[in-house]
Amino acid sequence: MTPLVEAAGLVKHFDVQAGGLLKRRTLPLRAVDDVALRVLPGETLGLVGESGCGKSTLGRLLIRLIPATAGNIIFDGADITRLTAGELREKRRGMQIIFQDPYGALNPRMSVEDIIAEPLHIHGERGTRDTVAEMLSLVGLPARARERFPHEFSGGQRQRIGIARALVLHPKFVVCDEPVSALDVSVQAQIVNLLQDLQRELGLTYLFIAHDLGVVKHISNRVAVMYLGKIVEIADKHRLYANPLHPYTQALIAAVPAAHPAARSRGRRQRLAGDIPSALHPPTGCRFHTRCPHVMPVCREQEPAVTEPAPGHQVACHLAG
Amino acid sequence: MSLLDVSNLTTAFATARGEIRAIEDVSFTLDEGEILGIVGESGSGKSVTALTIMGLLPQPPARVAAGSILFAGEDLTRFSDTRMQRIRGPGIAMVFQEPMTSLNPVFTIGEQVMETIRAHERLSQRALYARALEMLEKVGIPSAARRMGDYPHQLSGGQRQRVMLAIALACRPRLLIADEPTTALDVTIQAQILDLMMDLRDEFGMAIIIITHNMGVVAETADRVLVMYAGRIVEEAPVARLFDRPLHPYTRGLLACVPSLEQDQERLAAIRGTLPDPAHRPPGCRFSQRCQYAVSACSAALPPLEAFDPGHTAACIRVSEL
Repeated sequence: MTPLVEAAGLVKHFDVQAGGLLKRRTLPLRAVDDVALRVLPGETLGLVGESGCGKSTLGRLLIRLIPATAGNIIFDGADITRLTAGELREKRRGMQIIFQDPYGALNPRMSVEDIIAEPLHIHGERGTRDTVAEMLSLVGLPARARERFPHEFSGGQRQRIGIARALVLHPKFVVCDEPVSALDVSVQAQIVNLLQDLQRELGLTYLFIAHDLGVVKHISNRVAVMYLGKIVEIADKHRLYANPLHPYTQALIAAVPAAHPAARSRGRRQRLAGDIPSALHPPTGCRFHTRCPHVMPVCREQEPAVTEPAPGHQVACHLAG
Repeated sequence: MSLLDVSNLTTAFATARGEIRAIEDVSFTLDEGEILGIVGESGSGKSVTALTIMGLLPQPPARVAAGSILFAGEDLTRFSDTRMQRIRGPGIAMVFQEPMTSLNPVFTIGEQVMETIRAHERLSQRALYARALEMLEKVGIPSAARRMGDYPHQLSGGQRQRVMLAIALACRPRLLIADEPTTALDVTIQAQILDLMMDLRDEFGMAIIIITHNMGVVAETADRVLVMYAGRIVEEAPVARLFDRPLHPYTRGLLACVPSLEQDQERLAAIRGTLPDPAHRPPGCRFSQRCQYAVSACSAALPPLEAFDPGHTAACIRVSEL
């Protein structure tokens, strides 16, 4: 199957000021470092990793919300890293994003109608009233919501407004950047169900970014695991959760709290020691070697190549090679 | 006698829209060395319960409208500010969700641990230093002697939460209240901190109240659980019992709506609607408008907490039918 999105050699460096007053210099923060990724039409690709691993940056790169330092991204047949502003605008109708924070992502001075219609206006469309009504009903909000303002809604309802805005241009590909992390648990499930219903109805393709491994497993077809700017493992979700090959994936799954007190993990599961190293000074060789329980001398010197031990299951670890 | 005995506690806040009862009629006990989980979502009153016990709510606008908090037999609601200050530290200590805002950015972490001990005990500078170092080592700060001179911004989120635990435990409290202690942390760090809290409980024998919205954190740590909704306790049970046989429809919903790592579900069991605004709570049972089992009697009166088995209570008039 031809991927809807295909990224190769994707790199994003942010310049960061480091050092004191006298020794000030600019260091590159390698947020995303040589990532290759394919998203297939109609699938949900989950992207997990801990804070600072680069998962949100990768999501924003894939829809060119931020420019890449290097690499290409083929979206729907065109390399979007090489498009002019005008060409990009046309392509952008096809790729949208839903943000984590339903409080910060909506302009508090705009009515719900204006928020949802704004993308249409930017793309020069008129007669938006009916479209807004249609979108409100699609995301499960009452028609009277149109004249109201974001502060009048709860977190879950605001996330519905954010989803309506993202879908109003009928995109093919939607980056969902932690869309339920800021919501109360009892409301999270409503939004996850809504996203799945919309995917089925509209044939959407999702990149679903989250740190909650349970939610990611539920909604995804395949899951990619990121650590310090690199994708360390990617596989079909059932395969990844049942048979994780990278020690980092294993540790992430082992750290998920038990679903029942009888399955308490303390003293029974191996814990990762230490913290995530700074992306300003990533470790040499394999970036996970400073925390890896199976570290070998080669891991400190040589970056592991990506191997494919089973069809569709890729991993970057010297042990798996 | 229980270490902590909270009965009929009601805390109200004066607001522009009138007085709002953040928590109402909250009663529970806690024994020495026991870990009590308080679960709830935003607006459930779990943090207000903790802050009322600690005496940390500004009065006004807050006011303890009813009830008592017996700690080691003495009613904290009658204590003066100075007496409460003497209790905080050696009696009850607290750690918060966000360790960065709880630490003072302009003092070293060593100084902040020593300051807490100095407030309660007369020790020489040398003994103070030794005790602070010992605490930082106990909570697993690597090269603690060197890190004593670090400022909070030089530490990671997980290390800061370890420092908060060192400060909280420096005066050997009999009760530790941890309010969402791992919510701001990544999952691998959360596992480390929860293990550490359990280890420290085993070593020092203090009681712990752990406040969380995460059922997994409760499953990992608690001996007994209170479930709160819209300011009231809706269920209380020993932890295994709560997960095996939840009685209240809200507790059932909370357990069911979290996707499982073990089983595949076609669709998540969502709880409909949203949490009620504290100023406009529904009449009768506060969960009734979201409850799939609600009948008209549910909106008529507040359901009382009833015991269905020893140690297992729930506030729902339909429990026996469900």
